[in-house]
Amino acid sequence: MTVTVTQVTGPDPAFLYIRGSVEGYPAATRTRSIPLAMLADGTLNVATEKAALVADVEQAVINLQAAAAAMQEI
Amino acid sequence: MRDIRLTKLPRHDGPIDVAYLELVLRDLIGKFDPRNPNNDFAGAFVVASDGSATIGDDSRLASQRPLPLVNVGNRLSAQTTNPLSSTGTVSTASITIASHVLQCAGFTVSYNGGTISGLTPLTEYFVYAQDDGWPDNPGGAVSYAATTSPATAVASNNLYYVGSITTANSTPAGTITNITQANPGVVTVTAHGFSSGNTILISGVVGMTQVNGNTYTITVLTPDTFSIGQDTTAYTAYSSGGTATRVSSGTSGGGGGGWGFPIP
Repeated sequence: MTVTVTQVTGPDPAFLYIRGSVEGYPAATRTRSIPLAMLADGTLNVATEKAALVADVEQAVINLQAAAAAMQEI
Repeated sequence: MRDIRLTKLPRHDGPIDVAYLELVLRDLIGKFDPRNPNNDFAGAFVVASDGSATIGDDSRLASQRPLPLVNVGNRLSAQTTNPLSSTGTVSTASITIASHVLQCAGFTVSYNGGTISGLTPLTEYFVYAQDDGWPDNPGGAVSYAATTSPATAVASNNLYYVGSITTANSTPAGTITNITQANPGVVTVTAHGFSSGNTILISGVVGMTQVNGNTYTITVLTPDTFSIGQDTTAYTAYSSGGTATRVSSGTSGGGGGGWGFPIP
């Protein structure tokens, strides 16, 4: 699966918002909010946050696929 | 909708008597009467032949939907489940918002999950989101934010208040060595140190991947095992790996969704 990550807007300008999605699985879309101050002082970095977001989305897709498979057996 | 104003009454000399008061009241009530062509809504109330009435001004109110009553800190949740949880270290904490459904008057709204990272541990945050799809297409993927000021969470239009939570601090994790296929499933973590009622986040399991990313309220069985209150009999067999981390959950507020109302 390919997780697409894009920057999106949010309610607080003090945060950076990135959203991960997989085509065909809208319910698996996840958004990660990162305080700009934490990026500025190096406590957090975009690469690590992006990797965590991708992992969240991938797990959500796996869960959805497992649910679909379980439904096939009902 | 126009402002309600009293009709300019004829000049009245002398004391205010019952007759004058009746005149004033009749005029005031008439302003609200949809049958009165001179009502202050200037025909905005459209009365049909069957006696039903609709608001036909600029259709703004006709397109509105009832909103659940909510105020920041309201403990009466309109969400199907409390979606907030937190993990943390000594210096930073994160809040996870699980996917959830908001029950409103007559309809439901589904929200995708999200994460807010880089927060301060052991701090009460008010979590909110900007729902740009409101009112025609609310829900779905939204951007979440957290503030220590409750007023900020409801300060402007189209903000959805999710709830409040106190962030976690250091959460030592335990290495999972087994998860049974049983009802409920039993997890083995040597010397886990958890207590019954703790909320545990499971991640990184190989094999029984259905448990990954989920939180469970556990019941301690032995110093090395606990049950997760989940029927895992139909899950894929556990193979290896996994971490069990104690998390904190939203307990104060923790719900009560609603949107800011656009001001015409």
